[in-house]
Amino acid sequence: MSISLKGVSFSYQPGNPILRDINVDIQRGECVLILGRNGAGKSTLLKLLNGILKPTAGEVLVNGRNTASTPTSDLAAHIAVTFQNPGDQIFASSVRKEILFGPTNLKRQNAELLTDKALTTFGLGSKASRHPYDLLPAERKLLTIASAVATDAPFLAFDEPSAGLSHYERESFTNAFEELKTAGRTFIVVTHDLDFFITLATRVYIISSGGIGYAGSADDVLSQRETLRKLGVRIPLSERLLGMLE
Amino acid sequence: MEIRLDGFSFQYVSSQPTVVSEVSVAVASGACCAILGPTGAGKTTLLLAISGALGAQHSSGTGRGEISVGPHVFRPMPDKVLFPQVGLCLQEPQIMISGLRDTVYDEIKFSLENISVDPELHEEQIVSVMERLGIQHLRDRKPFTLSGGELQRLTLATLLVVQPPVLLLDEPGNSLDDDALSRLVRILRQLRGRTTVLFSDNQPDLAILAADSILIMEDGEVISFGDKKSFLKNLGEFKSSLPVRKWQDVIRVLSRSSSLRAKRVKKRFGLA
Repeated sequence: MSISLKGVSFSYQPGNPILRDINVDIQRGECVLILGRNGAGKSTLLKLLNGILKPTAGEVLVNGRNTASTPTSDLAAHIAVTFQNPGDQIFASSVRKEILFGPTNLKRQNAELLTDKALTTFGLGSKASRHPYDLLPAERKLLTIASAVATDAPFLAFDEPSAGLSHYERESFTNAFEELKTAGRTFIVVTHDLDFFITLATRVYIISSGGIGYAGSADDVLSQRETLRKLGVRIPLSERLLGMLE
Repeated sequence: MEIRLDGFSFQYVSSQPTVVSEVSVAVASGACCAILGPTGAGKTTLLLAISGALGAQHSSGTGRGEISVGPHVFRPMPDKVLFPQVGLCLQEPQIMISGLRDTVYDEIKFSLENISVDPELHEEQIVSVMERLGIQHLRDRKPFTLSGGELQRLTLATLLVVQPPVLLLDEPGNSLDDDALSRLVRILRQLRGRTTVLFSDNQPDLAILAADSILIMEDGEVISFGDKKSFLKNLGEFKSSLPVRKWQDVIRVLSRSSSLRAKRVKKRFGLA
């Protein structure tokens, strides 16, 4: 099970590529972080993974399926993507219905069970009958993540999943993440929150000027402070000060 | 403009718990106050109430106490949006964009049109705001083609260009990269003395860098309100509400160190 990006380029406007010749391989059980400046193309990269966008050059293979020729509805069984703005994807009239939609649509035998499990894992059980727009923004974010998890897709790609989450939700998010990782799920996470994700990550890519500006293991990345700074990656102030003072 | 809340409480639905309870705080004119706390603490509700959006949109809710914005006293809160005296930037930038303008430049210009200012006379102002936020290269882009972080900068630009005397920002650091965050800190510091700023966050970093006072809330109640120095000295008290562990390490290292660098940091944080 893998995701391969082979020489992938993408342009929203002809002649003005936002991503150029990207080569990345993601294996089952990994947690890959995608970092980079605002507007670097991180979210675009995620949309290429589930076929919402098709590469203008190169190919994206998800479990061997070429996203250019595979319907997005088929790819959804393999990869679930959440958007940065929960409002771009939420449509159901209750939290439970929103989560249930994915596994039902994918004809998962245990759709109800997957839904209940996701509700519990992300602490949304008591809010199952609420309208998604009655939730707080952080809870709506968790709802989109729970919906992706409930699809039972082996690959999960999240766009800034921790933005707006306070440390309560972060704690339950970390626990859920560890549990899903142990169960063999694979994560691709677009984030500015290196501090939070670094302990969960296996590999880190930093997108810069349309290409991969840095690729390395999660264990090494924090020692590359100068590179991180140059490539616009946020390092928490407390971390910076400790580095400076010690 | 001074912002003052006296015993302010609010309940969205009478059968549900009060989301903000008995909040009494005063933020001096031109000061910057950070409102920190976990999800559901009542931070957003407080900002919405001061802006007038809460009173205008949730007429079925129940409020108590009073909110003063400059010389105007509202009981329990303003019932109409106070823009352009008060600018409010919401957490989800997508809903801040008008959808009526085709370029970033025109979206910012639209703010000035809305308050009947001739934008042609203020081109320099629009350009300057774009430069301060680092979005001048996006000038001709369609707002809805921007990335999340770019959109967040644009929504800030649409407010800053109006120069409201009061600025309310709901988790403004979310989705910003390193450069944008540094710019935001710089802007907040430049506004000091001229604009009263209240911003919410669930992390302490931006507050430590840019705020004069820090209000900590949990479950709708004020846990603490004081200056940055007292916040940093009593970090341990807030560990259930905020991720302060690393900051406790920083304070520990600072207290042990007598290096020039440590002295500078202490001075900057008011700990010297």
